[in-house]
Amino acid sequence: MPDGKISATRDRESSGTVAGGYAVEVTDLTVTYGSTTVIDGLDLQVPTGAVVALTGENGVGKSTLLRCVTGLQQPSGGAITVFGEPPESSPEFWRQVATTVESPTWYHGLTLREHLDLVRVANGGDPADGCIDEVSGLLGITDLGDSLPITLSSGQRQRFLLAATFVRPSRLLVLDEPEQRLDTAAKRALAAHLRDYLADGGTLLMASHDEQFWHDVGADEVCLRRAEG
Amino acid sequence: MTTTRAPAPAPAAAVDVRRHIRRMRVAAVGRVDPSSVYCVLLAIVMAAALFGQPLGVIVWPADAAGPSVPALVGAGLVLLAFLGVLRRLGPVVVTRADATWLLPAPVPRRTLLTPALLLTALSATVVGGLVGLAVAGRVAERPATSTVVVAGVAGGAAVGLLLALLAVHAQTRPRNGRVVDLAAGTVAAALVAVAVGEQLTGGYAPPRDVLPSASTMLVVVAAVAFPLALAAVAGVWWRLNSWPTHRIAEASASTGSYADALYAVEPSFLAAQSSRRYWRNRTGIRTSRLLRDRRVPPLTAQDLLQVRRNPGRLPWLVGTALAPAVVADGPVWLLIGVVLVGALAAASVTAEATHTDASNPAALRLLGLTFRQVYAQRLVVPTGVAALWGALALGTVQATGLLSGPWWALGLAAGPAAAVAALYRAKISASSVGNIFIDTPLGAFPSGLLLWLVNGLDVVAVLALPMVIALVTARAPEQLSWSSVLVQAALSVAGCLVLLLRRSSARTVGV
Repeated sequence: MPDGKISATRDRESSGTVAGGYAVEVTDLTVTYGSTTVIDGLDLQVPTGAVVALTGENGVGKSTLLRCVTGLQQPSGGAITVFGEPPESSPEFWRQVATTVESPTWYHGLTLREHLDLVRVANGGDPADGCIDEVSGLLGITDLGDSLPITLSSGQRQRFLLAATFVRPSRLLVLDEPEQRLDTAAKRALAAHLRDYLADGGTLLMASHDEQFWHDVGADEVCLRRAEG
Repeated sequence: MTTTRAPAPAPAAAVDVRRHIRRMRVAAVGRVDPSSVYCVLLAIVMAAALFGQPLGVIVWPADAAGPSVPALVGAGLVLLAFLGVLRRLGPVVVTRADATWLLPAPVPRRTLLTPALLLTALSATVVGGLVGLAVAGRVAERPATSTVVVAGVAGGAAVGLLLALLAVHAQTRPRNGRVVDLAAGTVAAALVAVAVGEQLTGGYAPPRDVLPSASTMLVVVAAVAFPLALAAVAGVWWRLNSWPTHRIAEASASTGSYADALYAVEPSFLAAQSSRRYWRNRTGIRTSRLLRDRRVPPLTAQDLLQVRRNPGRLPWLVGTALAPAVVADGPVWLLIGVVLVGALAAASVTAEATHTDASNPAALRLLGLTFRQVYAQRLVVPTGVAALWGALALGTVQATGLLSGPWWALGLAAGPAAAVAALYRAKISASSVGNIFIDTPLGAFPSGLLLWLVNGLDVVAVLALPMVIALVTARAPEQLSWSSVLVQAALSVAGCLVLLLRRSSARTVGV
């Protein structure tokens, strides 16, 4: 990638004010790796309650953008706000934002169900209120409750990561290719769950390569692409 | 790319495979360089010149004091440690490259694995023989006859070979392997307990005929043990062709990681590898209600489950708690070292989760917990374990009569200090702690390993200073005062507060 410039296009005009404000606002974002510019002057607004799918070929900076939005990567230039505040490693930020951008190293000695209980309890939820059972059933991992994470296949691990992300309360979901490694039925169930999340007032920003999937979720497409030259 | 309609009709001839591999290796790394041979021989000669004398004194002291409990216990522990090393290494492994390319290929398994089996048998014979010689050196009256020496070496070698065969058997049957590991831990703890019991009862000299006579041993070894061991090795060798591929691949991957750890001087690789191996083979886990019931904080509940699901550590903890009593009448620095290292090791029983979070805090971000919440919850279990360990360790020394006063309470009070040190230690890896290279005549050496070795010990040495001072100054008949216990408790609590009350710890998610 000799030049590496990209530009962002949006299907929806974002000029003017939005009723609920913006969940994510990215202004003039630039990210460089060494001498390579991956994102150059990107602007993006995601209104609260909206769903946006970042699309584009491999290497255009979708995951990088998501990492910057979640504060996991420091951009080279520009500004980002999430619910009006810069992303930071405070508990307040992480109580609002749930992400699958990074894959946790699971605790070896805990079963899947215990991990989900742990996530729910640590976030102040009730692990016996049926939410975990519902999400586990949706993602088809109910039977794996007694398994240790180290014994899972890559597809099962993806479902487990999504389940752990969904059982904790959040206002913004940042998902990196959530449909990855899922079979068709699981993708449909996942899309339905994300629609429910949005109907409850949540906001979703995701990267995706599966057009059918993000159409099912009802997402607006933001196509990232390298600028010519 | 070519495809075949059916598998090749017959595996390649072993001789062709060996010739091909030899040719490939020569092409890749060249023939053996005479200067390399010279260097290796010179290194062996220098090692013999440097360490031969002290090693000789250990193996064959000038005077035989007769069989003693510590000497016999020491021999037993060395052999058990050797069994532990064999279990960790495999012991039948191939190189990572061979595991990748030759293991899944239609190559006779026996051809691949024979060198590893021979190496295992040879090292078992050497280690066992040396241990046998050391025991004979303490038992045989001077001047010792050649029969005694040969009997000692042969007897030890036979035991070593037996242990190697046990390790090989355990490698193919993981369930039996877990039984072997548990039994080895229990026997080791029992041996240490015997040594402590001997201390408590004021010393016991076993009769000189506690071991069979040299001529009897030679006959038994020559007529029974060696033929049986050789037959067992031959049996294992014959069955090598039917060994399951995954067992060899797994052991080879582990050994490859050990090599990586040595090469990269990053010992945390070993702990991570060992942990992965343990949990991958751990079966029969049922989801507990401990987290769901919310009676204890979630990360404390996690630590409790972790301890409950790894019961094999318990005999080792008890065994190390008895170790201070064994060395109590030796130099005081040794006693202090054993107590501090032991307390730190006991408190590290749940360190794995902290190390995981430190290397990848993604799970903590998912949990949304701050430093302070994480530390507060993760201090509970190690504090309890270290306090119990300290109480048992110093209480046992107290029972030997070498210390007097409420030493068990001092051990209890030092528990939180060890827990704080264990948390600090768990957060650090050798590569992160120091990247300064120390120049040595043999080349540059990264300082990370050295700093990692003492990491945490510095914290426990400072926070347990009242205990260290008491160990130096308050030997029996001097009575330990309760004020020392209170000072230790106060310092331990202060250590916890420093960790918990840092400004950043309340506002940041992570460890």
